[in-house]
Amino acid sequence: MRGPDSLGRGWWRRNVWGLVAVVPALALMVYAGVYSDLEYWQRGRPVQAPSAADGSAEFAGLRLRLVELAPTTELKRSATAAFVPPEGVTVWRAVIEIESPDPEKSPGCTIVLEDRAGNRHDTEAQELTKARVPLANCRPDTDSGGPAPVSGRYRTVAHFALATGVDAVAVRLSFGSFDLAVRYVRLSLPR
Amino acid sequence: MKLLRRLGSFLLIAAVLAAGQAVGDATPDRNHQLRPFAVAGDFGTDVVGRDFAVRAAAVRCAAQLKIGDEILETQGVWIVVKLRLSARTEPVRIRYAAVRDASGRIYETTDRFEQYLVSGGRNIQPGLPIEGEVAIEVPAASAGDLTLLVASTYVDHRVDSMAEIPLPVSDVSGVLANPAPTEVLAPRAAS
Repeated sequence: MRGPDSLGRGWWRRNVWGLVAVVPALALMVYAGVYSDLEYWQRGRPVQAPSAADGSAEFAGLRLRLVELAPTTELKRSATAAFVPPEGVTVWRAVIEIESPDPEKSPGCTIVLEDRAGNRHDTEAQELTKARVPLANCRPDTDSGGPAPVSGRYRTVAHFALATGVDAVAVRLSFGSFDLAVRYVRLSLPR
Repeated sequence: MKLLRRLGSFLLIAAVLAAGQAVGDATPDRNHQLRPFAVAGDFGTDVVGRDFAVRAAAVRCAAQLKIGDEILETQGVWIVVKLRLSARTEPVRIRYAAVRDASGRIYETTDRFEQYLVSGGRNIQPGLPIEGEVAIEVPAASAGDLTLLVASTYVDHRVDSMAEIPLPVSDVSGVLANPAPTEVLAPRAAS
């Protein structure tokens, strides 16, 4: 440490701006350290794609519309036996109408049901493993006897297990293989 | 005077380097920074993690397990814990359960028979909790001070929640003196 300079300033006064700059430099260093984790986390957060006022949406090259969202008791356990859900469980059915320029090449989707509290339920409920349910993947389900698409239009049907008394309000569709960003479209019945 | 100033500069640089080394040594390593978030709770109460809730409803120990027709012996003691598992806002699978003893050793659920409850085999929907028992083999000397660990992650528990519940185990010597096979409750809908 030298003594006062020609202007009579000591070490602290000569270096005051450098010392002040240390604080934002430290803050910048800490931010740079966590930035990559923060950015990775933000990229993984699902983003809702827009839908039209009538409840339909153009997404993943398809036109999508929710035509039914209601409890059902029509599931079968076998060709002749009805499926009875466990006590306290209500089965909900969502029917989505899909319009595709080429149904054979429609991308597969994942369908999630949203209840009134905002909780989400998927189509792989343990409570439905003994029921015969169609594939719910946004592709024409002709393999299990479903109708062939007419003019590029067909339906996909999804089933969910909810606690009795819980209401469903919407479904969310995401197309992982089509859309690398984590996006989904939310469909609800028009009021 | 000049020599003293140079010596002072050298000592200052050495002190800064030593301080930097001390800060580096004192800073937690990457694994410690990314460790799971421990969510501690009491036995018999719901302990709520990021995406699940777990309640250790009962605990007992046994010298032998009866799995189907097979009797499973142990060199230590079986800790059998009854769990109630529920999803929070979206479907969840519980993939990890273990106990930690007083010296920090971890004992995971046995793989000598299938334990679907905590091996990701059950897809739990919000509002539809399940219950069942898990079995963990520990040395008899460790059984007096055990903490149950439960997570929805399988191997990589970093930066995710892990429930920690102390287990009141007290009947070890009595059970070992009079061994009798006990069954493990399979997963089922919670009552």
